[in-house]
Amino acid sequence: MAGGAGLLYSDVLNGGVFSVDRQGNVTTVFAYRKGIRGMSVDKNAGLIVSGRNISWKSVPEGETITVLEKNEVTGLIGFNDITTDEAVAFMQALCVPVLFLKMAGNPGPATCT
Amino acid sequence: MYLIELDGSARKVAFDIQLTNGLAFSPDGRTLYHSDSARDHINCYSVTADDSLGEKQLFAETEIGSPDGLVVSEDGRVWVALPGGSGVGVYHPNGRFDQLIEIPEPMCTSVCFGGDDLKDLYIVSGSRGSESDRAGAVYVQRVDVAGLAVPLARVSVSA
Repeated sequence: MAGGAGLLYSDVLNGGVFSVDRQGNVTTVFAYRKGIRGMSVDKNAGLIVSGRNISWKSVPEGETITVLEKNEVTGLIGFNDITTDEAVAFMQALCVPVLFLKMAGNPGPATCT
Repeated sequence: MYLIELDGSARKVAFDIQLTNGLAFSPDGRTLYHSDSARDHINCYSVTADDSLGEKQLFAETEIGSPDGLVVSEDGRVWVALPGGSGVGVYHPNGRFDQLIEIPEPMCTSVCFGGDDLKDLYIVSGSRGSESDRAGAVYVQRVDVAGLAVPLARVSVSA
């Protein structure tokens, strides 16, 4: 659950990110992006999504900003699951970076955040 | 595996991964668990003081299905979606297999905790290997331990 909005999931084949509430009602968050492999909720009213690149997308759907682009020359062909880490003492200055991964396969058609 | 810093810069933090998939931190944040699906390995890394990762260590090798999305609960157990395994494998912090939470589809791809108390376990299935109209579904099951909350991303973004 994200901010009481429901469970966020992506449809990797048909595109889009959706939210389903406790009653099973589905609402569309983003309609058009295909191949989303991972999501992290961002503090700035948006989602970080991964797939062909890493992008920040505002919620409700609006601005899209690329955080990191693939680089096939270096073998960076896409991005799969992502997660965030906590601001903890032993990590000191860095509070909540996003970890992301080079994609090397085709995960199933839907993923939790 | 890469790390995006708060300022948006990125660097590689782990190598020799065949098919990267789920990743999550331990309750104390000092261990990162990661699925390498092609090898059927759930690996773990120590997180060092300079935000680097230590040497890759085998946490568990899946016997049924391959590891995909994963999450960690407050008690340190690791919950791993198992494509081909028809469910979520649960592993103790020492890597010992605990239990399998089954779903009626073979392609279990991802898992996360939710609900007000983070004791609702959401399980995602994919359509590969199934003709069922339930393929590509989200299941939910109550569990006896809360999942770890995942922090909000705070990476700097600019147009």
